[in-house]
Formats: sequence, C-alpha cells, structure tokens
Amino acid sequence: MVKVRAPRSLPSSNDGSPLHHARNGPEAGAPVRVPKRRPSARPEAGEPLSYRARLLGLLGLIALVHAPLLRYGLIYDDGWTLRSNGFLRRGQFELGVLLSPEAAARHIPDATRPTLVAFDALSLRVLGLEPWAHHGLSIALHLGVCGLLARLLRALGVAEGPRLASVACFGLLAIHAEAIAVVSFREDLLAAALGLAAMIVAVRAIEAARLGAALAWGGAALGLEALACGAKLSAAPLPAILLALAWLRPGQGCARLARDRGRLALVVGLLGVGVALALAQTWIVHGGSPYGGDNPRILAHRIGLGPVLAASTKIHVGYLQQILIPLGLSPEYVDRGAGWLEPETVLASATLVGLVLAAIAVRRRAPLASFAVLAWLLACVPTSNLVGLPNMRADRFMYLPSVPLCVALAIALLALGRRLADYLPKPAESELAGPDLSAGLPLAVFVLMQGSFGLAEARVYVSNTTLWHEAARRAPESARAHALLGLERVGEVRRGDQLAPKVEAAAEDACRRAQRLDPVYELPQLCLGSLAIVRKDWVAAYEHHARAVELSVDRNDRPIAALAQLSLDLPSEWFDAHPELGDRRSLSIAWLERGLSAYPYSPELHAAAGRVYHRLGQPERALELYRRARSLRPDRWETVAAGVELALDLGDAAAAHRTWWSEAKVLGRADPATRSRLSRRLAVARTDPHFSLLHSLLDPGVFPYEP
Amino acid sequence: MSRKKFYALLVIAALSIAIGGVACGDTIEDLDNLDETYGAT
Repeated sequence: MVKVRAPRSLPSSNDGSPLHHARNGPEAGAPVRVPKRRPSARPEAGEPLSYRARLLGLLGLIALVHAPLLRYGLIYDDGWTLRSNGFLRRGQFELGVLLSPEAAARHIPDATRPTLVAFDALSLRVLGLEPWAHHGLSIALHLGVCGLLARLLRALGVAEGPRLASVACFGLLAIHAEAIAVVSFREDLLAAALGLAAMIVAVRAIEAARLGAALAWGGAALGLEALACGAKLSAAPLPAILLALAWLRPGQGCARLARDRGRLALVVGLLGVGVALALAQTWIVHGGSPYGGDNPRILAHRIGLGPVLAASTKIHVGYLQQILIPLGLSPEYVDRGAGWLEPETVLASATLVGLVLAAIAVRRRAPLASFAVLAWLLACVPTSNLVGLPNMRADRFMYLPSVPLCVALAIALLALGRRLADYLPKPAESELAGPDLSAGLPLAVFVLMQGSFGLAEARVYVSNTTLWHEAARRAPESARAHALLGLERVGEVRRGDQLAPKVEAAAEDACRRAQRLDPVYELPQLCLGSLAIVRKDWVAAYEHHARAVELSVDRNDRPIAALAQLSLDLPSEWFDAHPELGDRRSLSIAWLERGLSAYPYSPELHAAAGRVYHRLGQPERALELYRRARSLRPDRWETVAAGVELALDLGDAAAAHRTWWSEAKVLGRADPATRSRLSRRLAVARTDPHFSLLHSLLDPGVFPYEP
Repeated sequence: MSRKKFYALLVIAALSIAIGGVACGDTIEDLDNLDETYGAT
C-alpha cells in the first residue's frame, strides 16, 4: 500500500524566481528585481519550455475547453442585467446616480454592484449585444483570474510546478461551469480578478522597502479591493485571508508577510477600508441589505435565520464534496430550512467544526492544509446565509472560495504523484517515461475528470429552455424552475398563431405545479397570467399579473406593462364588479404612471406605454414613449415595428418606409405575422398618389436620432 | 519537458476532456425562441 503524506507547506520557488532578497546594505531583506534574460533566438522543438510558455499553453487549454460557450445564448438574468437594462445605454449611464439612493429608487439592476454595472455598460458599448462576444469576455475574465492566481502564487514564492498545477485545478474545476457559462454571473469572475489583483498589490505593499512605496501600493490595494467588493461582496473576506496567510505561513514566501507586523496591519487595514467603502455604498443605496430588508424571496425572512443556518451547514459540506468530486452540480437548488437536531445537520455541523479544529490543531505540522480549510471557510462567509440571500445555494458561490482548496489540492496531488512514481516501473529508454509525467498522473486524472464534468455541466446553460428543463428535472421541488419552464412553454406561442394543445397542457401543468410548490411566489402567477393571455382570458390574465405585482418586491416593470395593456381589454362587467378601479382608461394610465416613475430604464415598459397611448389616440405621447423605448434598447424589434405602425396610422408613409428600410436588420428578427402585416400595410400606403419614393428616402423616419 | 511533449500533452488533455464532457453529460440541448424572459434570481 502506498503511504501518502500530505505536503506540509507551499513548495518554495525553485525556478530562479525573479524575487531575491538583498542581504546587505540599507535595504537588507527587501526584495530586489533581477532582470530576466531574453533568449536570443527562437527555441528549438526539443528544447525545454520556459515557465511562461507552459503557463500560456495551460491557459490555452482552459480557453479551448471553454470555447463551446461561444455558441451559447443570453440566459437566466442576462435579459434583466444586460439586454433590457436601459441604464447601460449611451446617454443613460450616470455614475452619480449609480452611487446614490436614486439607484434603488429607479430600480437599476444590480445597483449594489457598481463595479459590475460600470463594467457591463462598458462591455455593451464595445461589444454590443452579441452573445458570443459576451461569452468570450467571460472566458477572458476566467483566464485573467487564472493568470492572476499564478502571479499571486509567484509573489508568495510558490514553485513553478505547484503554481501551474494550481492554475490547472482552478481553471478546469467543474463547479465553475455556472459562473463562466452565464454572462450575468461574471460578477463572480470580476470580483475574483480584482480581488486577486488587490492581494498581489497588497503583498507588494507589505514587502516594499520604503513607507512611501508601501502607502502607494496599499492605496492601490484599497482601490482594487473596493472595486472587487463593488463587483460582488464575495471579495470581502480577502483582508482576513491575508492575515491567515501571515499567521499560518503555508509557504516560505508567506513568512515575509509577518516580518513587519505594523506594515501588515497597515495593509490589512487599507484593504478593510476598501471593503468598508463597498459596504457603505450598499448601505447608501439599499439601506443595509442588498436585497431589501423585507424581501419574501429570502427564506430567512419567512422561516427565521436558525433553520436557514442549519441547512447551510449541509450546503457547505455539499460544496466541499462537489469541489473534490463534481457530482450533484445543478443550476437550481431548492431553498429549505433544517432542524439543528436532524441527523444530517448534526453530521454536517460536526464535519465543519471538526475541520476547523483539525485545521487549528495541525497549523504547525501542516500549515498548507490548515490554511486551505480556514481560508475556504472565511471566503464562504459572504454566501453562508448569515446575511439573507435570495438563493441559499448556487455553484457560482464557490468561484472565489475554491482558490485556496485548489492550491492545496494541486500540491497534495503532486505529492501523491511523487510517491506513486517511486512505485511505478520506469522503462529507461522510453520517450514518454520519467518522473516528469508519472508524478503528474494523479493531478492529470483529477484535472481531466473536473474538466469533463465541467464541460458537461456547462451545456445546461446553452439556452433558457435547456436551463429550466434541466433545473426542473434536477430540482423537482423548485417553484422557480417549474414557473420559468412554464413561461418558456407559453412563449412557444410566438412561433405560431396559437398554442398547440399539448404544449398548452404542459405549460399549465408547470405553472400549476409551481403555484402549489410556492403559493406566495410571483413567478407562478406570471406563468398563469401569460397562459391566460395566450388563451385571451383577459380577466384571469389581469388578476394573475396583479397578484404577481402584489407578491414581488422588484422587477415589476414587465408585469405592470402587461397590466396597463390588459386594463384596456377587460370587460365592462368586471369594472361593474370593481367600481373603485374606475374605467379602462384611468386604470391603464394609473398602472403606467406607477410603472414609469419606478422603472425609468425599462424598454419593455416604455414600449408598452407607447402602445397604450397609441390605442388611446394620443400619438404624440405614444411617439415620445416609443423613442424613449428605442433609446433604452435599440435592438428590440417590437418597438421599431410599433413605431412603423404608428407612422402608418398617422398617414406618414414616408416616415414608415424610411424606418422600414433603415431598420431592416432589427425588423428581420420580427415574427413572420408582424412582418407580413407591416409589409402589406406599406404596400397599400405606396398606392396613395401622394406617396413619393424620394420623399421617403429623405425623411428622417420614426427614430431620427441614433440611439 | 520538451515543447513537442508539452504540446502533445495539451492536445491529449483537450481531446480527453472533450470526450469526457460528452460522456459525463445527459443534457438535451434545446434552443430558445424568445429573447425576453423573466429574471430568476
């Protein structure tokens, strides 16, 4: 039997690392940069590879494994945060608004994450809305995180081999599939990239020879940490993790961190200020909780914190298992509480407490293992449900916390490989033999297993239909999964004029099941309301949408848009039964006023408002709202088609034709029924003797200004 | 490690993960016909 001993600490640099320490002179002990020698000629095929080439090759492999994501669509919350987020558009984005309480008042998506919102606005300007470009950006961010991890490990004096092994483990870890595959979850990637950069700069600040340089680097670390926490508060524990590095000293390089305790305290304090700045912004915008103090979507608000924390212990043991063996990954987990005396909870709590005690007990004998466990637990704190979250569990929560575990795992697997290599036969003359490869066997098996499961898991996120189908299959008690699956099925109607009976039955089944699973959740109501719209049952549609708005604390713009339009279709008998609501017109306008003041950046709501005023015979107001809707989301064909119809209704054939021609690309995505209706109406308009082709070409159109 | 050996290993790793990715998953991919959906989180 092979006896394996876990590595006690991070292997120190053995590569002639550029960090050396001056032994004499005024800056004794301070790191000195030694210039690298550049090879004079291109290396031959048989020559050994440099560290940089091996790192680039590894990053290339990670990129290649994630390349299939480039054909994926925009799913999950991408519509809310990116596609329909008018605040990100040119002329709408205002940093002052984003950092003020107005951000919450105007319901700017992810307003408590200003770094992410600013990043999204920039990415939208540069990349447009092409899904492949945004997936490419997510992959690039992940590669950036891998590169920064390598850089941080180098700054901590870790040797080349373990550094590359750590990057391989982290870069291909299966549990990261969700964070990388869903564009709107790049908040985790951004927070990790900025957080690791803050750590690198913080290490430089601690090692700087002069106080001035230390303050400059410390200031940079503060800024990066504030930005990281501004992307997601998952980066908030990093100052504590830096302290753990200095305390446990899992590697020789880490000893330098604790050499000057005053300097360490200064840098940790500066990082803490960065965290405090991000928390202050959250406080200013949302008054404490980023999700609202009374949000019913947070389970702790419904059943209390105790049962949620009890369930959280099981969740964290589950995370550990999934990081080690990637089984049971899912796009959806059902939020539920647990009792502290349940056997599973007792076992999970004992496991976590045992891990902490063991980590403290072996901190001198095995500082790396000790650090990995304690740093992982520290990094889990923001998503540990101590502070209420709308999702108690998600694979993406483990993106940054997995870093210390990946480093420890990589080094342990390399140590295991070295032990195994001693027992494996070595053919002396074979090209592929040698300790170089056999020592890496356990690591290779682990990385290939993780990469394979990660690639398979990422396929769940190819589209919303696939996502919610899989979510309902893997989490059959999830009301959200069934409701969103039902909504996807209702959406099938847009392909044809009416819903196929089987699809309609499946949609209703999903909506009703979701309602049974959570009667006070808005999504099942929206599902039933949308189904009623398809069935042209306006009363049921109105009442389900009104109930959804009553239950939901946010994202009510589209339900309000539906309510404003449905108000115009309600029968007189219904108004007779509800005299307090007035007539169709006043009810519709009341909904619009409520919605437009609360959601000034919602393109769907502005377009719906334009349609309502269009129907009410107020074309100027309708045109104004269509133009606003178009400026908030230029790629939305429904708004452009409505603008063409308005121009035709007003008898302005020139503006209608000009818009039809100039917006051909956007209107090309319209459904066939709308396209043929517009085409017919335009053809009729051309028969008018006053119609002039030249006049149409010179007309500015319905949307004269470029958005 | 020589360049040849390193690149060969990378190619083998990529192929292994691609094959493993197909073998480990049972997801049936389906494309969306909507570009407006309700957010989930």
